[in-house]
Amino acid sequence: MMAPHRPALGFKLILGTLLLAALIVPLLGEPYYTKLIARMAILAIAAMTLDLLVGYAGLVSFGHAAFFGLGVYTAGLLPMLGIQQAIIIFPAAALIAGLFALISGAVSLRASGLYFIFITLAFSQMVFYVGQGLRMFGGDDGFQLKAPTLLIGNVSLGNPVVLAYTMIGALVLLTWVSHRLTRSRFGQTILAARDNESKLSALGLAPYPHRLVLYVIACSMCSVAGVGFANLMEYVSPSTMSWVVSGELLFMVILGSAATLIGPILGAVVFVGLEQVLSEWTEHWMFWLGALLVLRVLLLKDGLYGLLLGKWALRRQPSGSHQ
Amino acid sequence: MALGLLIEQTFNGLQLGMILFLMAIGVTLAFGVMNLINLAHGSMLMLGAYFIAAASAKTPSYLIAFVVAMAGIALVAALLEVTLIRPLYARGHLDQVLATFGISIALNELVIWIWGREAMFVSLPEALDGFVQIGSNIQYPVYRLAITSVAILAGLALFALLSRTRLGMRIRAGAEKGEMIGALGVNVRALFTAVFVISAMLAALGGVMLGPLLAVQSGMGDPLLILALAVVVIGGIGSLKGALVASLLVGLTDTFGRMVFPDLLGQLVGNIVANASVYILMALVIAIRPTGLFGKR
Amino acid sequence: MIRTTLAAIAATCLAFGSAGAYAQQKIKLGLILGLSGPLNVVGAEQKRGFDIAMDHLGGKLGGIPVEIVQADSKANPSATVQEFSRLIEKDKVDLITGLTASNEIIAAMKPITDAKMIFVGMNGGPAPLAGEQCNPYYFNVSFQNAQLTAGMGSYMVNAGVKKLYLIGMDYEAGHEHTHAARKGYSGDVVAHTFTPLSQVDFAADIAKIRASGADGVFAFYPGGPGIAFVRQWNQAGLGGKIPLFSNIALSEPTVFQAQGKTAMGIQMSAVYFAAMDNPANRKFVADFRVKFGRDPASYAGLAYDAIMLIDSAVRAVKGDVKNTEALRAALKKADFQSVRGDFRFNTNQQPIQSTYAVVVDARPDNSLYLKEVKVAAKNAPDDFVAKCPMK
Repeated sequence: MMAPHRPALGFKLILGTLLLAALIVPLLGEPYYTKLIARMAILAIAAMTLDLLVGYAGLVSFGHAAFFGLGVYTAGLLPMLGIQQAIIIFPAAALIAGLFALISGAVSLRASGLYFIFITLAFSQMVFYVGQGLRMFGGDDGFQLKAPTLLIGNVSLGNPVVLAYTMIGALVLLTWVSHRLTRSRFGQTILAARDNESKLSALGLAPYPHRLVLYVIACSMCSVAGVGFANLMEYVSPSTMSWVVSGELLFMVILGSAATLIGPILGAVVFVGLEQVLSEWTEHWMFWLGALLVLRVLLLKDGLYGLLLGKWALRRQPSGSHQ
Repeated sequence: MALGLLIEQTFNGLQLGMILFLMAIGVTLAFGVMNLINLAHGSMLMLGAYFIAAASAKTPSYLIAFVVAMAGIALVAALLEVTLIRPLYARGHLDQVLATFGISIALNELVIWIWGREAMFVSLPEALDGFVQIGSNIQYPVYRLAITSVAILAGLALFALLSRTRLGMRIRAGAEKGEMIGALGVNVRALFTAVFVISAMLAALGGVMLGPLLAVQSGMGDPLLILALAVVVIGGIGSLKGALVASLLVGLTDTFGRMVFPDLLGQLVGNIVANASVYILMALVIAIRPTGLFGKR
Repeated sequence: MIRTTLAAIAATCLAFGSAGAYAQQKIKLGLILGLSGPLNVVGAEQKRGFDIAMDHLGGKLGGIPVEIVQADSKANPSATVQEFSRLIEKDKVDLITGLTASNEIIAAMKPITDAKMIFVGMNGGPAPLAGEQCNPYYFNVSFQNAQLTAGMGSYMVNAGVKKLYLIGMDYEAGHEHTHAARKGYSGDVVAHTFTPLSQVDFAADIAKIRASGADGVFAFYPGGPGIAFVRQWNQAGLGGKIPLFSNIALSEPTVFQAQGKTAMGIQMSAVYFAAMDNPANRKFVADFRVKFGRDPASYAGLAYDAIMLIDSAVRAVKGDVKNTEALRAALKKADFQSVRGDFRFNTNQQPIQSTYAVVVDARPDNSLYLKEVKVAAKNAPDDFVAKCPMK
């Protein structure tokens, strides 16, 4: 995990360039690449919200895909009731995800360490099986998105350019909100709870309620990405809620560096990029992806974020105790 | 519910439970002794199945194929431990989860690379290819009984190893007071390698036995790994007794759940609850006892 | 930016210069199959049929060299959508063929309609797409699901089944096939259940079947699960005790080796089997045996037909595949030699073909094969064509 730091100018330049590239590509008239940008932004939101839990609160959730999937399903099911407007769909997704986070978090947060990891997995499996079991909505096959989410009037997220810009905008907004959150009193309490629980109780602060609030916030934000994904794929399927997706999101967080917010965003971008590049190059690209993950964990002290800050170092010593 | 059906499903539940037990002890042992959480365990099961499939294609004797497969697994596990797992002992659990997750993704693709995408098939050993008559109506496959028996034997062998041998004593000491045994002159590195190899072989044994029953394919161990993790959590991480109790509980819950819930709650809700029953159980246990049934507080 | 400009210039040239006489240098064909995932056995067999077709055509379609862009649908609808998007928008193929499962075909409809891209289906035919939602860009060369299985209901009645147990994989095709089998069956249905796609251990279900007192079982399990089911069925002592029915998904040359003697006696419905006697099939089977050492399964035969169909259509439009309307008309004519003998398209672009009842039997050299029992329906359409707006 990264210690607090001051981003250098070179770092801001690189990030700025990436953002600029993301904003220009949709204008080039290549729907495939526009959709790629949208996909990167969508997964970046999911990874960034996961970092709030993993990096800042020390809560390794292996069930984040559930909230992503709840967003996907909300965007898919509301049109069946005749509702297409984003102004209803996004908040509805956040509400549903938040509710499930409240219930599952209340139970999961009673556990710590490994137990927490596995209980979050258990809850996301439950949601997955519900999705799979709903035959009237295609069950395991899923179903086609009947109508895309409409932003204002007829401006639709079914249009790749609109989707890309909307998701980039959402990413920037949610990252800013998360950043403010971590810097606030609330955020400081969370960080303190991560690093030294006993000190916290000595101060009369209980970690549990703070963590639960953070859990609900982070998971609701993730559903925004899900709504975007439903519009990107024009398809709704339970595979969006599988534990493999949760694992991939964790990979993005660690690839980028946990507890940095920007790191996981970079991690998501690189992950999607790698998927593209590697799959062109070889049929067995999943092998290299797995190998990359192992190498990143074993050999590097910090992820992409550290690289940007010029602080990329190979591991000389074990990284010490946490979780 | 007819008695015959009850008996048959009980045997099925026991078989599933014992396979899960083989996987769960591996997970819980690695955690107890090395503080290692290993998500590549499902791949060990898969490799066991692939190795027996490959070995039996080369020799008509099931026994030889079995020995070759298990030896192969021991070798692979030892190599893996020394190169990739050893650095993980000093890391946090997140690192271990991700690194072993990465290993399992890579291994899943590696078997496709080597053996192709199509499912491989292992024939049942002749002697076990039949069924026993139970009561007037049930013919239960001999092979399934064999699986359950072998798993029980493996469990007993492990118990004997832990309680009666020097190695077992060191392992138990390592689980209790890891820092001390190094000071007592025990080669901790070798011990950890041994524990990892034993765990892997237990999982692979499950794969070797399931091979002839199911289709040998990439990723076949993953659904069982997830269930095994549920078992470990329910039983309490680090507790062998917990692993045994929980695996039987989970095996029977899953098997009977699939039978009972659709009838009780209708096809739709029943199927969902049947699939999710183990996870619901896990959530209930954690809600009441956050460290599992027999876990350390 | 440059790429778009060039594309614009090229498009303008085409618009001015085509009038149907523009000959292509090369045809880009997207081949998408479920090569990984639960139906990988099926996808691999489809590829084999495709390979033989390419051998016979010398790597050309309608005499024009073809570039194949392969994609893996993983027998998963959401992966299918992604791959179609890639084939259409990135690889910019001329037309697409393949797919292994009915749920994938449904998912593919939106991408191909939006892009006005023709897709020739090699396996499976979901009911909605034969009826109200029939799609002018979708040609199904294989079978409509119910069409394949329809005869089994009455067949089972004639075989003396009084109490039927239906079981299948829980996805679109599983539902359609088991319901089609049930439709023609007039006896007592004891149970009609589905198991998850990924399930390969059927111990609990077999126990339930045994306890139900059924005297006939219709089981729909393609690929790996099909192999597992038949093996476990026999291990549980039910082989030969309770007759097993299906369509050719359950037991076929791809799985004969794995199932072994346990497959004998399974009765199924088929639109294609290796022993069919016509010149096109004799050639296909002979070359398949040489290359792969065994008989082809229906997946291979249907894939072969798909390529031959496309070849005939490309030949008819003299290579002008960009002219979608002309290509459609040519495909509709179905002017090719099918390995099934008689084949034509109905107004809903689904097949009009014969179905047969076959049984797994052993040749004198102990190898297994599918033997024709009788013709179940001759040159029949599917049940949904009336609902299709296309006429």
